[in-house]
Amino acid sequence: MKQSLLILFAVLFLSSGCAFKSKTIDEYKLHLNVVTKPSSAQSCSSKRLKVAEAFSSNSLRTLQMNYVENSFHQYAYTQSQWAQEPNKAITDEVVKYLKSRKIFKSVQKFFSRSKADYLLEIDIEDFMQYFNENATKSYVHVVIDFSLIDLKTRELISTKTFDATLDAKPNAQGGVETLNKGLEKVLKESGEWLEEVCK
Amino acid sequence: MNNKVNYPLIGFLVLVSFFIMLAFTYWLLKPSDEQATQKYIIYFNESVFGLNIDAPVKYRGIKVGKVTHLRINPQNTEQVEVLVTILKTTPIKQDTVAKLTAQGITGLSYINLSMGKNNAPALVAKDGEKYPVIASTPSFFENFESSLGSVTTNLTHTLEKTNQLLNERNQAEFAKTLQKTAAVMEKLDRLLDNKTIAHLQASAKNLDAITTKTDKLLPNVNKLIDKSVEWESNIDHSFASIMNSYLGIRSAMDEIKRAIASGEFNFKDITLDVFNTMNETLMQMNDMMVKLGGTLTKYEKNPSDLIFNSTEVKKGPGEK
Repeated sequence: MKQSLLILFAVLFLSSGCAFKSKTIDEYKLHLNVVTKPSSAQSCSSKRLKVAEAFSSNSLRTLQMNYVENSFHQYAYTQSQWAQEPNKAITDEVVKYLKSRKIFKSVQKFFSRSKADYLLEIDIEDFMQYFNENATKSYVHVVIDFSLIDLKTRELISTKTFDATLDAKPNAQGGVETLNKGLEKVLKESGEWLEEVCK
Repeated sequence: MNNKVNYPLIGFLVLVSFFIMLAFTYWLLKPSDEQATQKYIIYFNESVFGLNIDAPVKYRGIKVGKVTHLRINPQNTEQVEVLVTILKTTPIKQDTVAKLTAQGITGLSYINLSMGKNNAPALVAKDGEKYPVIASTPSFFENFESSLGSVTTNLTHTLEKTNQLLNERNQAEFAKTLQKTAAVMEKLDRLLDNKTIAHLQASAKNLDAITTKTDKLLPNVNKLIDKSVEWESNIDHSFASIMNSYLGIRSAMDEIKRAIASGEFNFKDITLDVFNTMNETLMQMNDMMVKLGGTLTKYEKNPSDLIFNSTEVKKGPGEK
């Protein structure tokens, strides 16, 4: 009898947490509106490109939406998170963008079974929203490094780092919107760089 | 008195008696089987000095006949032809040989027959020969004489060589050698003083001790050798197994090589899918590890969060 009562209390005690209700968490995704124009570069039109999954810090490989306060303190939004890990989302956006630019004959993700001539490596150095000390002002900082590699010779053809710093509204949604814009800027510049490389 | 004599009867009886006497004489003089003889010829290439008519012919020391006639061979004047009469019962074979042998110190000789294997065929006269010819061998004296000549020649040759060897120069060299030997012997004599001899004896004792220890050690060495042989056998067995495995691997590798060369087996194509899938899986595992790491870090700070979620959460900018 005593044992049964003990088990009943334990179950009630442990399941009591289920009774608490947490607040709704908003999920955000990257959504770019990059206006593209057909590429004029010809030398890469017969080349096939593969885009490797972006290198990044662990903080960009989780759904947790982080921000930095006062340049040093990193926190995570409690009511907002990414719908997809930022490093994967950025990789997808790069693939989508380069496909639309038509600089290369084909653009595939790295795990595609198809053969390729070039490989584009992406290194996300920064993709974060920054706040001032009292969180009244914020800006986003996007720094991405691109490297084009010849897959046959494994030689680096060209590499370049792009960055964007834009003011943002001091909240999660404002941060996401501005990060989108920052990424758009970086992608545009990277597309121009690739056209230059393929001329 | 009847004086009438029957002369025919007397004549008949005289004739009968005469024939009986003739028959008895023939019977008396007829040679027995043992006394039946056979004539043989022997040619000697040496002097038959001391051999006379009626000289005995012996077979392995037993008198079996006699010399019947002696003369120089008319066909070859260097040979003496000796006709001998020998009992038919004597086993004269084709390989029987005759040898002239001295009879004591009398100077007389006899013919000694020897050899003749039991299963050899009997000696018979060849075509054109009146009597069978027994082969002859040189007598002891003949051998001795020829050997003596050879010995004399060799001795002379040896003496000449010795004379050449002992010329003045060689004598001087020999004298020098002797002097040096004497010097060496003198040194050796000085070297082998009592102390050295004592040392040598001590060394001999040590050697004896070592030998004794070696004798004791040898059984262990034998055991070790036995073990080594066993070990070697095992190793051989292992090597054979390894060799078999190696041959199997080599065969498989050859087959793979052939398949790759012929294009049947493209390792890259086969593994491409696997590698891609593995890469994806590894990336997913990496993501999972990152998330797990984050979760663990969170609960490491406050384990009670697992049940009570008591950690105070800092709300982000714009969050209520």
